[in-house]
Amino acid sequence: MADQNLRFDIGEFRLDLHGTSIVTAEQVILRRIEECYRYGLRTLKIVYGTPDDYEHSIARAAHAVVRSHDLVAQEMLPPYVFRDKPPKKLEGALIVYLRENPNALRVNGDTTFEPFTPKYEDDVARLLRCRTPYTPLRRSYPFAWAATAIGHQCTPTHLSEIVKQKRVAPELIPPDSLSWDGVCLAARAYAELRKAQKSKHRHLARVSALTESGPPEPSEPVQPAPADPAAELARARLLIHESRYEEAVELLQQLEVSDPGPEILADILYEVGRAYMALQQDKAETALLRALDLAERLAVRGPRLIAILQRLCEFYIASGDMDALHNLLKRYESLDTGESGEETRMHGVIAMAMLDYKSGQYASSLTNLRRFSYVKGKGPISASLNGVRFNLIGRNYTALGDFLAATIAFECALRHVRSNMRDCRMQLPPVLLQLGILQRQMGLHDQALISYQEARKILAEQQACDSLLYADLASSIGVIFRHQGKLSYAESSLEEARQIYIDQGAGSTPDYAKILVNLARLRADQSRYDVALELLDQARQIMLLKNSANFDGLVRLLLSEAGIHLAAGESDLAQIALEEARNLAARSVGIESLSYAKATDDLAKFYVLHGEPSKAQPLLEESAQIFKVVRQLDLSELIKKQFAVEDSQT
Amino acid sequence: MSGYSGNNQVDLKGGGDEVLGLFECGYRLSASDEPQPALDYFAQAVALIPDSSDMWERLGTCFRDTGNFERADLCYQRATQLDESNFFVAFHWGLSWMDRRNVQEALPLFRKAADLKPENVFAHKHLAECYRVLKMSREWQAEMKKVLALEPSLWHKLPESFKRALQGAI
Repeated sequence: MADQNLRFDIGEFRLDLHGTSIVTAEQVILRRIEECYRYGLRTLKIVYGTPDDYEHSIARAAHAVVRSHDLVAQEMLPPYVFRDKPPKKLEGALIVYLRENPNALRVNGDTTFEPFTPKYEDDVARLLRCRTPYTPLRRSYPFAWAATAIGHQCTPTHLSEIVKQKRVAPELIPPDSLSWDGVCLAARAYAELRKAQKSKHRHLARVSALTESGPPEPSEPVQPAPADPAAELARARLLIHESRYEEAVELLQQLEVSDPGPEILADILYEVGRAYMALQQDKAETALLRALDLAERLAVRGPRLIAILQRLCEFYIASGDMDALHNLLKRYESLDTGESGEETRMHGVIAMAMLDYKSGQYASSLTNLRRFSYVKGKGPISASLNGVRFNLIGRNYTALGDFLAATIAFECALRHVRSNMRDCRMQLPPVLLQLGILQRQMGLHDQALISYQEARKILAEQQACDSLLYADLASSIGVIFRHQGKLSYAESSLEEARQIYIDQGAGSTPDYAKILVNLARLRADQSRYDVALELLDQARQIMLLKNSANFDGLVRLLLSEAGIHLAAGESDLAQIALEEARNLAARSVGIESLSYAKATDDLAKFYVLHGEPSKAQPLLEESAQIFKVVRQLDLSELIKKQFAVEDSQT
Repeated sequence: MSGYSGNNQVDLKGGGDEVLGLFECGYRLSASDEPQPALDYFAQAVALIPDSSDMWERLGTCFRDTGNFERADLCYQRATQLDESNFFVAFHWGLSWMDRRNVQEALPLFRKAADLKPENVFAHKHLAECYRVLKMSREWQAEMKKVLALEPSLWHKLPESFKRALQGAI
């Protein structure tokens, strides 16, 4: 049980940290050391609450605080405090001797020790002892003070009612006041009263629902009382749970302006962010960032901070703002939340791998996936998680141009997902989409179409035809049609994809930029070069704004631009774009990457087409060498193919 | 089809317990003539550590055992790229061509295998078989001499015609 009391007879302040979180425990120990020193108290007894020693235990936190504190007489501390690993069985308490303060203040009736909140304490009276400022010499507490301290819409009238009903021992002087024991008893009595009232209301509501006679009249007049922020916050959470987001936002905004205190304000802002996210409003980011800021200032750690960070990450992913996401994760990469569960770590690794993939950092993504394998070990994981993992591995290999490894990885993903179709049915379409993209890149257009159609069928069965995944499928089908020369089909597919993205409010995400690039290529095939360049420009703006670290994507965009310029007969601009793409790939992606090989290859083709084979040859050899490594293509065949083009031109 | 009889020591290329577990399961299954489930394990291992020549070789052998020679060739090709001096790749790839009765393709692979491990009697045996099918009698005799030098007890198991041909040569 959390508690605190000052024993004047032996000059000892006893601080019991049962039911207290580690962070709060650290803070309160620090405060009490200073306060005890200020009042000349020489002994502080800290009851750990969690006596067994383990990482992140209160005992370890307490040891860390006292062994380096200037006001603590370290020579009086037991030796285990200074060891990294104290004995497994500790005594339940640590007695800390403080240094003598020659200018100590006298403890009087106004001497107050700051309150703290033991988060996991259930007992009403103990909670009250810790949550209210502790004044050791105070003997009486007015009803008004007690009602405020008890909270939960408790009023002095309630307290006088409780006293009248002789629920509280009547040794209380002066009138309309309570001793501390009285306050505790009153708090318990009020809690019981509230409980009884709640069940009575529930019962009446049930009866009224059964008899259809309208809402019951309350048996007791409702006390006009100030709204309790915690209760209102709980009501707002319920509204969010019931998907009544607008009402929740309204309620939370009212709460925010009522000055509820920083702790509750952080929770309010977090809930506002959640509600705005559900309403797909950009204000979510502001609310969540404010919550994060406040949490930082309050030194909140653990689940609360993680929850805010998670929501922010979700927001950035939904809005496609990879740069912001990167910055956020970088800022908190060393955050120690005390979470050590393997599942949590694995999910974290997968999330990081996905982020790296989205940012074009394929090697880093694969490294993270290998870390996942290490964390997993030989233990089994769900088919679903395995499906996600191998799908991501396959996507990375596809992007790196290792098509054989990608095929094998996608086949693994499909096997895992199909092994448990009951749970993983909705995971099949993303894998099929990625497999289709790979097949398309390998020139297997018919097989790619089969994969896409199967994925579409599943989504249609699940009535998910307005999802972004469906849009991605439509876009990919459009690309195949474009390659096959069926431009009208391609146009309808790509426009369908574009419309879904806009309808879903995802019209400024990097994935939408990809659709714009595909549309631009189509327009170029339709000889509408101005429109194509305009679309490319839009795509570039989105990429630079939201995912500027994805250099791979930018190189591809530049290559598309060069292709359009070339088709439009603007050779100079095409050459500039090609050279820019090649330089960017060399500088930012690496000269052994598929992007660099493609850029080099395209530039070589450009020289071939413009009758400069001497410039083309070294470039072709260079790109062929990279292709050979990453794709296992035969070098001589590729060069032969390229020079066949040259021969036909000359 | 026969159970896998290759090396059970692999370079895991930094793969952890999961990869080791996948390899062990795959190896056990392929040794007990169950190439299809073994293939699932090796495929996962390959997806996790694509830089292990040994793992690609085992995957290729599973594909070969399930009759998917096209995929097997790709796997062996990758395994060779990763480690030119991997005896098992050359040997099993050679067997894969023998399964398809393509001795011309198998010959250089067995030759390479025999060069990489001159003490391996099976490599010389298969190389000799290639020479025999291709009617390269002098090379066959030379290779058979090596086989018998490595395993003299084989002499009693040889057909009479072989013995006569070899006695003439000796």
